Amino acid sequence: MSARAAGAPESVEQEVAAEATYGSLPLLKSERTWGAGDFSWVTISLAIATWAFLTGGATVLLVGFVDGVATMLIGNSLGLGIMVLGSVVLSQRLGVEQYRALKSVFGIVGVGIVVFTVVLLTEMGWTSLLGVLFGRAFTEISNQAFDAGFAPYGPIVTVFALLAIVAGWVVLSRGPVTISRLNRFVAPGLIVIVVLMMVMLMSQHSWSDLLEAPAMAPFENEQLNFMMAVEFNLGAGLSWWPVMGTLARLTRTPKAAMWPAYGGIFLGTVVAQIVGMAAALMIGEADPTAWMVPLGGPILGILTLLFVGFANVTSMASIAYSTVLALKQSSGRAMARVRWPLLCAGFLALPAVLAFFPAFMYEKFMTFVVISGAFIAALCGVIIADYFVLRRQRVSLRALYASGSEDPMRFTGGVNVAALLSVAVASAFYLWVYNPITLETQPFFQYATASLPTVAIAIVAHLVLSHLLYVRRGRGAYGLPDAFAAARRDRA
Amino acid sequence: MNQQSPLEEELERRLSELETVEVSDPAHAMLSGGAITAFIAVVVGVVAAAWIGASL
Repeated sequence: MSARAAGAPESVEQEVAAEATYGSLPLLKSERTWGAGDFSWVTISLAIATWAFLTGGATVLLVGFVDGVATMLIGNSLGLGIMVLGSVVLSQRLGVEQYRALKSVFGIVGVGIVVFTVVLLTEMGWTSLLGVLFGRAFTEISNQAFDAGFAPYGPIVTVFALLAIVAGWVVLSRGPVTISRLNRFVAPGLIVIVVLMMVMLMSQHSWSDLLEAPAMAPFENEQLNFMMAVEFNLGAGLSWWPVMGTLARLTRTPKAAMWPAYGGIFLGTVVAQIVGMAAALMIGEADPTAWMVPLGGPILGILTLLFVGFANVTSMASIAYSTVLALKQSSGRAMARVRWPLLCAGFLALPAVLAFFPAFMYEKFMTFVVISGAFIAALCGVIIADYFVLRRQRVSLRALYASGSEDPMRFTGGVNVAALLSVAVASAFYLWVYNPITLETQPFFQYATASLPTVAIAIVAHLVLSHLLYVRRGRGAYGLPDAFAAARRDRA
Repeated sequence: MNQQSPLEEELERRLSELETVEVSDPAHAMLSGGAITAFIAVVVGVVAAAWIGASL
């Protein structure tokens, strides 16, 4: 997947070093090998991971099946649409890794601030959640197979979660090739599980049971339940932002990037989430590790849980890989000499701490997704304003790699103050409209969501502040000539 | 010798190739107004269809 200068790397350390250094360089046409079909397969495989079961189960806490499907479609369509415009388009056009491309929006130091706050915390949360999901799966297996009677959030869950994180570290330490080899087996396996679970579920229950099943833990206000479920799914769609641009740079055309990034993730998510929703409603448990044995029976259920547990380790390694690379690339020289396994261990130590609070991670899953969505919505709004409006899709490739006094994208000491201020203002607005901790909402949340006005505010704030601070003063490389202006517009 | 020199050389080689040989390659095409409109229309269309479906 990386752009390499010469020859194949010999060791994991070299392989990762090549990815971390040469991977940040712009790709040439010969290295952009993915067509729309290839990228669709990648995005479907990513989306159909075990977290989609959990998202489906959490959605029907608030709404029934029909409304659950509707909120899933609405939330994911909006979230993915915003995410695609805020990451995929820019990286694809330039053929550049996402966080390098974002230098044009946030400045080189600003990108580091975004990576070490929003990206780090978001991916840390997802990693620990996968660890706890693994812990819950193996606790359930122990209870079913050996009648162990372990508590659902007891210390054994933490022990297994830590084991999963160690296993994730082992996979991660072996580099990108091992991760992609494992994913070749895991993604098709999960598709089989999704189909199998739906067939078993509908052989044991009728469609009318499913359609009439009430939400599992709703609030009194139905419209609020509906919109909270939309907002949760919107956050889930936005949560693909940290990884999607870097993947999209490998595609050959804008069409081959934009539609699969939206459609592939959408399709994979919808299929897996529908199973998660249906199973949760019929069995009465939002947690996939709790419904797999009752649904599949002791043998098939345990085998499924084993596979899901294994799948979590590879998902964890995939997330951690892109995050650790982003951290390494955004840290300048600070982490350049740190060995890859040590760097991975440093990142995984953070979710390992969270694994000591399994109930907190599981019960606050919805809160976590919504909070991360608040910041990602604001980031996407700023990126959309910068790339589509201020730069009119024209970004100087050379300026992305310039440094020191020759860098026209220095902004203010390497930070685009306008962009970061806009993110802060828009995120604060989001948390005022919908506080995911207290669940207090402003009246218009029930009709407009929190993310959509947040994106709008981020766009307006960035346009105004950028004009005042940079554009009218001729700073920030707005209006620099674009090397690819001769490339025909893609009519998609 | 500066340790980053090979990297800088490789960067320059790539930038030069991108600015000459690949300068008008469709991979680097901007999205047209029509393409952006079509994309937003699909996103909004899915939302509208789901909303109407839930209201029925």
